[in-house]
Amino acid sequence: MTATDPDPGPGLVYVYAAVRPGQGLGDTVRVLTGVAGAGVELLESVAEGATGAPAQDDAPAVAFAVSLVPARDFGEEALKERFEDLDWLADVARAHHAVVESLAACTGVLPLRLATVYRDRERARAALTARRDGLDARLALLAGQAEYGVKVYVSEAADDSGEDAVLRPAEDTRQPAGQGSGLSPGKACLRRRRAQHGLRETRQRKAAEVADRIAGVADGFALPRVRHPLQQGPLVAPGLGANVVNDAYLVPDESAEAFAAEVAAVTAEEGIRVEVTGPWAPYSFAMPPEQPSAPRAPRRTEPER
Amino acid sequence: MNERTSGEPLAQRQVALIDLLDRLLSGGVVIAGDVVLSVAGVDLVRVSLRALVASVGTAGDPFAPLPLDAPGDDDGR
Repeated sequence: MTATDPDPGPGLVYVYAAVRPGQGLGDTVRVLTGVAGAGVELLESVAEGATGAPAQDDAPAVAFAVSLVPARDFGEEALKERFEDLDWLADVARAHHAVVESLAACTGVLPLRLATVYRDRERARAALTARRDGLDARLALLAGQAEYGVKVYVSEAADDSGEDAVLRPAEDTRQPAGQGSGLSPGKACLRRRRAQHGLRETRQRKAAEVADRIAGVADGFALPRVRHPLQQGPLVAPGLGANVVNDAYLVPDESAEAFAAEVAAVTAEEGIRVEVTGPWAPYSFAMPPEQPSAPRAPRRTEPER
Repeated sequence: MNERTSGEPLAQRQVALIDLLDRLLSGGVVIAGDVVLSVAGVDLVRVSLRALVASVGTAGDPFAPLPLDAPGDDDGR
């Protein structure tokens, strides 16, 4: 059930991540600035049946890193609108990420999905307490590892003549017949298109080989992998070509350099780019989606290919 | 762009927004919140953002599922 009140109060609790509380973490958190310019604090779980009391000594050590945020920006109605605003979304995403990165620099971190918001500290603390064991287990599973992104792009640009054929076929057909090669403009255009098509096919095949070699490198390290949807649309930087691989690997810290070096060594093919990003906090390995308690619209999942 | 080039320290590169949204909108622990269950929880957001980002999906769990959801407390009440 969701809160229907569009203004549930003066402030809401925005949760960034579950973390391992530890020495020095409090000092780290105190100086952070989070979403909406808010300060960041730690919320500890509560002992069973003792609301407000500190966690029992034998309880798993998990805390939430949170900010108090304005309801006018993070209430349900506001979020629906704001999530359509890419500038706002980018600001929140970067602020969320900055907090997660700072936490990850000094302790184990399990990032939460963007914009997990509670009405107050007690509600957030109750949610933490209810999931403490699972969060604890996942933090343990991810300890000492970081996520790395590996993307493969295939250049869509060809040599000059090929590009010409793609960009200006209509113009070409208006030129006088017999120009240049002695072929009719239509046939010349067709020939260039075939050459272009062949080049594209060759690159796609090479890209598949590169992807296989990268997967082989990852297999050598026995790395868990998550496949993200291929990147497309207005946010993709121009000139990168078509994204054909967008994977995330979970890499033990001690293997990170060797893995990055081996992936980099795979990339000699002309027209194919491999990009490694990271280290990231283990966003892609944090959790399966929460199972809804009642039937809802089916979720799209990305199968292993 | 956060391209890795030889010798460049990883931490000094600017993260590309699209890489960040891949992770923040389809990764991360999903716990039902009070306010955003029907928004960030997540179908509505994903649908509305897809036209813009075109890369938001739900990644499968690479590990066996863990019992994160306490019975009776998975709906944010």
